[in-house]
Amino acid sequence: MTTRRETGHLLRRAGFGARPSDFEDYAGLSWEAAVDRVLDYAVLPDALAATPTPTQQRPDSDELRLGAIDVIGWWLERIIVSERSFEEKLVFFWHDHFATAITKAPPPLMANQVVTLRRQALGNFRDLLVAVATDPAMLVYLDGNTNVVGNPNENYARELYELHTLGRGNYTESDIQETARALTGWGVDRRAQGSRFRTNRHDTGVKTIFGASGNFDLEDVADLIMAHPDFPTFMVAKLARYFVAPDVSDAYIIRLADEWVAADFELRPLLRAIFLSAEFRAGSYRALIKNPLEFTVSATRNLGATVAPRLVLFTAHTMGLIPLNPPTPAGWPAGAAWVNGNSVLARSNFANALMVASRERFRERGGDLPAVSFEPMEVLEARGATDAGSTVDAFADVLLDGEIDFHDREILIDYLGGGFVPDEAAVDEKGRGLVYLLLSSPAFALA
Amino acid sequence: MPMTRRRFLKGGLAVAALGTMGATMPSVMVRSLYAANAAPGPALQGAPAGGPRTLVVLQLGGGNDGLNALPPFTSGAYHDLRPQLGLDESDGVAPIAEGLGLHPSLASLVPRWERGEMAIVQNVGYPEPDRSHFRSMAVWQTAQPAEAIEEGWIGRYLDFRAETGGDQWRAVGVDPGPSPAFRGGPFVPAVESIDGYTLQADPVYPRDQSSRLVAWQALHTAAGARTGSLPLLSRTGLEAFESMESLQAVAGDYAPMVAYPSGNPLAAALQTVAQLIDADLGTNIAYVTMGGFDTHAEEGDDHGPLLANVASGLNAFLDDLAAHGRLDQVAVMAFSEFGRRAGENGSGGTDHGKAGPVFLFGSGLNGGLYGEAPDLRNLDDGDLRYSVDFRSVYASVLEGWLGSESEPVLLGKFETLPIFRA
Repeated sequence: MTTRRETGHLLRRAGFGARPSDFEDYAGLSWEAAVDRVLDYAVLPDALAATPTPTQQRPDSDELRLGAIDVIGWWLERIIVSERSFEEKLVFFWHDHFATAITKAPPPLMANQVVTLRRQALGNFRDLLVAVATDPAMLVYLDGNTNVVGNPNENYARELYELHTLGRGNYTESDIQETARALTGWGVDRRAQGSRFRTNRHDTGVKTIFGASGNFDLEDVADLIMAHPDFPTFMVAKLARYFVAPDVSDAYIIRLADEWVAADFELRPLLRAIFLSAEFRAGSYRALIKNPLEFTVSATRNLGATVAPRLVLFTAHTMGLIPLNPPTPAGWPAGAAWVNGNSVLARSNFANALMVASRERFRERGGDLPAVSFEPMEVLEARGATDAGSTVDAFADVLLDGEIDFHDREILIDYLGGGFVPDEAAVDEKGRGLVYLLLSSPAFALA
Repeated sequence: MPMTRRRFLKGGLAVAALGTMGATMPSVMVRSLYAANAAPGPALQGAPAGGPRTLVVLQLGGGNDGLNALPPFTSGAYHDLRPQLGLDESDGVAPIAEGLGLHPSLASLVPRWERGEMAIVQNVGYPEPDRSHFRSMAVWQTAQPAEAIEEGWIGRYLDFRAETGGDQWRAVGVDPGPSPAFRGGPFVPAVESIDGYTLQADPVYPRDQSSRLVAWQALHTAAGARTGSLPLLSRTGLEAFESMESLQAVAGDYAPMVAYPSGNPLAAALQTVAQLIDADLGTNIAYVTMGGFDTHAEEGDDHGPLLANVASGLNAFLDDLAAHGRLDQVAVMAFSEFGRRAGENGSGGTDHGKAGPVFLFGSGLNGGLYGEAPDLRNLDDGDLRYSVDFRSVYASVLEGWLGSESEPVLLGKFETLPIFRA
């Protein structure tokens, strides 16, 4: 059976956090069934399926008419509310891995890229790689669209090996230059918001990559990467450090990489093996640090709340993470990089804003406040809270999987006060203060 | 646990051991050995009366094209390499020396150059250059080209000078997060905005704020005794709390004396630096970053606006400091992880290169050119061959401006350039 602690852990990693009802839904499942339920997200209802993508909403949109904030908000809404949370987590992972930025690639192309990543997120890696290599936003961001015969541009080829597939030290400068030649000819078709291969701009000469020679093109480069001995471990290490722990062992990576090669680089069996592993299930609880998006969205989902995307965006931006606008082609930093003075204060200020803006009297007023819906009394009544201790436990159950340190519990009971009774008035002041403190606590910053 | 000077001294490791162990010792320990031998005292002598000296490090991310920022506009080789991108006087290049000018978008800096408040170190790089953004930036941030290490050069500086400085505001990153250059050292506040560097209260129950803050601190203190990342979160939270209180106590009085350009994030960050300097928090090093210099394509369209933001941001910042009587306290050092390929590519841009100029600003420096101009007829795989090691620039700043020894910070002895007035 899957415990509350395990459900919280799984849905924090393979998603953006458990909602209160998820704990009941997963409690009756074996671990294997719980993992499969996460992986088989395609059968779950898609509440936003009918919502058109930004480019469907405005099919003639170009970078002037469709703003970056529209596109980021469209994706964020889905990240916050999706039933298929693992799907959006995978899209974020691939967006971070194959980083492109909306300040260089036009917003409509970025919106289409999110759709492409969603479609390929859990399929075959080779297909994903080719889809990204010919994705219009990537062609703009790393200048593939200006990479033509006679005048190769090596920007994409370098990051393809350094960041996307092999890692530094596993290729030569000559491999980069020859690969750029092999990839010449791909360009953006602005009118169709798609890409196309322009035969007359492709270099048909012989290229030498990783010691092999031939008239290589994109498909050949993809094959050469799949056959490169450093590729499987590079990619598995990246996934394992993101989904499991930053210090997973070499043996663990090699074991998973061997299985992945045997599975012909299908992603579903790899992710399944990761989540079923003891290293993940028991060995990585709270081993990661939430990035700003994971922090803000998990707070919202854990509380069973909804929040306007712009409050999430404001906080994540303050902390240095704007979705669809990573700082460099390497995506965002991870782990301890998110622990600093600015982020500590920004996390608490988000918690405060969430509690303030969700008050009914503020919600009705609208105006400058972002829309937040959260009813602390609902959580407390559902869990039968009657005093300070049971009030702390009720919120610790949803925010910390019930895994609250004894000292933290005492500190929070002291904060509520000895005679605390969770009535409307007390909860409006101290109950919201309690949630603010739990969200500010070091334990909640961990994933 | 990072080894600070104080902890090291308590440990009492014999300095004599350096002779036999130096080659294989971890650099953290080498640094501490140097620290143990350093004579305290002269470090801050010569600092102006208005407050301690501040170095503003400006990181231009992506690889600033030095050959077009500082074009050798009369050179035939330059125009041969860059038939489209090459700049000429007819494009608005501002001549500053024989055959050398500033990019048209930097022309507003010329009065500063003429007043001797601007120095340019030409053709700076490091041995065995790496064309990866990330490796090259790490080299500049750690000051260690030979091996990948975690700790940054400013982190080492802060640890080395721990006994001379004040509190947490000795260094600051005006960014959502502190630069990797601070790693390995003490806590450095990262400030996105001064107004945001606070813990907001519940406006409906302001009277509850004090009990919230008591519990907030207690939760962070309690986590310090636990495992995993909790001690880091605990320590950082408590440092943030303390630094927030000291900042909010002094940050109220500043008002800009010049109009900072709008729509220029660098200018906004520099204004925050001016506010911190004006608050007299004892800030020695401020770090600001600006990205976007990776001009692989259509550089003619993109490079100018980037440089224009640099020039207008710096001009506003330096004028504001002057109006506050603080200009003699501040030096700015602008660097990029590498310059770009000498020849243009087929996309109207330039690919990653190996050497570029470092720009310095301030009233306390000896303005002018340092280092040799790159030889465009003797390239290394299409790239400039560097002539000044970037650690020489760091050493010059550490010794000439911050009054610090440089060897323990840079983990080696490097030639200094007379960029700063004695």
